Amino acid sequence: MSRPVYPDQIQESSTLDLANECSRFVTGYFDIISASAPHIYHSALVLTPRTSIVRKLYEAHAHPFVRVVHGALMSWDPNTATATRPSAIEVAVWSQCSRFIVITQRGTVMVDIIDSTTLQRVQTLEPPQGISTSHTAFVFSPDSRMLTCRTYPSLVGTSRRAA
Amino acid sequence: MVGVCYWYCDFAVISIHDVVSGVHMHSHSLGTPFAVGDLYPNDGSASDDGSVSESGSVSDSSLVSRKKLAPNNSPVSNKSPVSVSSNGQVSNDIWTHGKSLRFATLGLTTITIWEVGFTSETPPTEVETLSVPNDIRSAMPPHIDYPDLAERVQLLPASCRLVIAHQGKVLVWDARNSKSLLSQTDTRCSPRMSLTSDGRFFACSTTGYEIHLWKDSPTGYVLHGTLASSNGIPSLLLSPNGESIITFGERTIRLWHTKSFTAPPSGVLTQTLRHTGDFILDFSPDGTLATVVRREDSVVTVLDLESGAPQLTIDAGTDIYGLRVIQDSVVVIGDGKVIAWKLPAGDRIPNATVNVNDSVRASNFSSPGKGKVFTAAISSDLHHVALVTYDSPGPRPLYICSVSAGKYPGHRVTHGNTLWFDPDGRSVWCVGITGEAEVWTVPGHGPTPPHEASDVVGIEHPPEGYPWGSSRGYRATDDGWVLGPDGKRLLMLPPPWQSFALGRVWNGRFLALLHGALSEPVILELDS
Repeated sequence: MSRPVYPDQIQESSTLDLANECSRFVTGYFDIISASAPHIYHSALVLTPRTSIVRKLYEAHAHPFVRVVHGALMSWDPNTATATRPSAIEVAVWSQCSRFIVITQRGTVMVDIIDSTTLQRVQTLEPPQGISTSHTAFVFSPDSRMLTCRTYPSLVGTSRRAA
Repeated sequence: MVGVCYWYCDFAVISIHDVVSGVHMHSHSLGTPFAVGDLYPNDGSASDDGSVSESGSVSDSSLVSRKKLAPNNSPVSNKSPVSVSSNGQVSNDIWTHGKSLRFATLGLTTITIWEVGFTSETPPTEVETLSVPNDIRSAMPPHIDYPDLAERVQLLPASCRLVIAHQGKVLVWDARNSKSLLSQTDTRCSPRMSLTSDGRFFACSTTGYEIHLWKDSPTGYVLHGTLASSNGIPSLLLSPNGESIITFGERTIRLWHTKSFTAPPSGVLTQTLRHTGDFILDFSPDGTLATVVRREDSVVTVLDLESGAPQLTIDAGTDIYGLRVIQDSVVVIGDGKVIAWKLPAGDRIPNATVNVNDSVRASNFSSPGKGKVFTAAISSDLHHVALVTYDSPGPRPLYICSVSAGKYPGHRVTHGNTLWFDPDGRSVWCVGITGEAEVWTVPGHGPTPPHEASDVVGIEHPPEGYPWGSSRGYRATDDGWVLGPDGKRLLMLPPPWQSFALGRVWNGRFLALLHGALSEPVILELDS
């Protein structure tokens, strides 16, 4: 059966499907893969949706210590990544390039920069002493290398984000 | 001037500073008491080495500038701000225009666009004044303080778009062309909203636990898709390129691709979605069955734990607030009712359906008072029912009544929202989201019913017979691992599957996950 052709879009292909599936697998189970590579086979593959190409290709290699009795995913959730922080998130701001997000959390003055694909923390910044991050406004520079914050009382810090 | 310029505004003063040198260039007062939040540089090429990173890697970060901008400490701070007549509130959005900044002030009848140079000390000049039409004016909240103002009224200066969310109305207005782009009246609309910087997408959350994504079109914004939110009414933020949206509430942040939004069926805005993950589940004592119901739903599903398939469907004919398996029966607490059915045994007929006529026990009890029942539990001897009712936010009344007498000997105030009778029926644990349980003595087992909470305990390691801990030594860690009795790492739960102890039910080798990020309960059988 021929695949649909979209004149102004990339033509669908099984290779593209596999690449997309692999991307979903890696971003969806980033925590697991980074914590313990063997748990790709003990955990991630066990929880991968049953219709996933990755699961079909590698299920034979899985070595689960659990069985999903009920509630297994049939297809990927539209929510591509989730992260749980130690305390409530108060402020979130995108970088201009859409690749980073800065967040602040209740009860801490630290400012986290997270990757917008995996939601994993890539940097923690410490604001100047004596100021709270509450009611703070942030903005990235257009090249996303600088982050400027404003807070009360009238303190401004600018941090260089990228090398 | 080297480095990045930014504007700074506090108490209606917009100041231009050179970030790298810390030099205060000039300030201008706008005569409005509202502070504004965003900071925008003047161009995209500014960096100390003149290069722009393409790798996206982050390393060697350091604070390159830390300046106190109070007038007495600013390098050129002895200049008094130049006052500019301005009627209204400064918008949260500001954008650059060549060598100058543009920003907007929002008044009750006008939107004014201003321009101020980076290096020129000339006060901001008025670029354009646009009138606010009557329907927009009437929708605007009359007296809202910052930051509520910033949440309910947003201005996108680049395309001169004004967004107002107030009292169930969402209005997007093209101020330059005096054109309404979206006028949505929906009492479920919350003021949490976001626009892409080019105005191509607009998103707002609703009290119906949905996110609506609107896309710009020649005729205005059209509903592009909806998404069920699993964590209440989250704050949301569209990425500048419009391809992604993050939602965040409490400790969780989630990422969605706008492509994944589903096209809404007809009439979607009148639909009511339930919270996706508010389930009640209990296992049969022999570990062969699990019973599950969505809170306030009337249908109980009995699952076979060997196959995972539904074994029995029970239509209780009443909204269910609590459920418990006692010996060979499943007992539900409905609206003034306690009803029990025998669980299937022996040769089972897959997915049979029964209703209240097939029950083996049905008792009525009167409503405890004002307020809607929020959650309920029953003691294992079926003598007592505990109810928490909901009338308004904050602490809620806890009632413990005798099912046979139907009496409520008073109530106490609790912060908990999940109930569980201990195995001998002498006390009730009332657990809050923090994972701490208030332990209440049941009437008839103490001198004054119900007793004041005798203790507040954590539920991570409850006594045997409580659902939040494994009697076989399994446990779940804060970082997502499920450990076996010997400490072996059996499974790492991805973030959407992780939860507090309250979202987990243990029984023998089985672990059920019930929390809000899951669209249905997940039941796992663990290696022994």
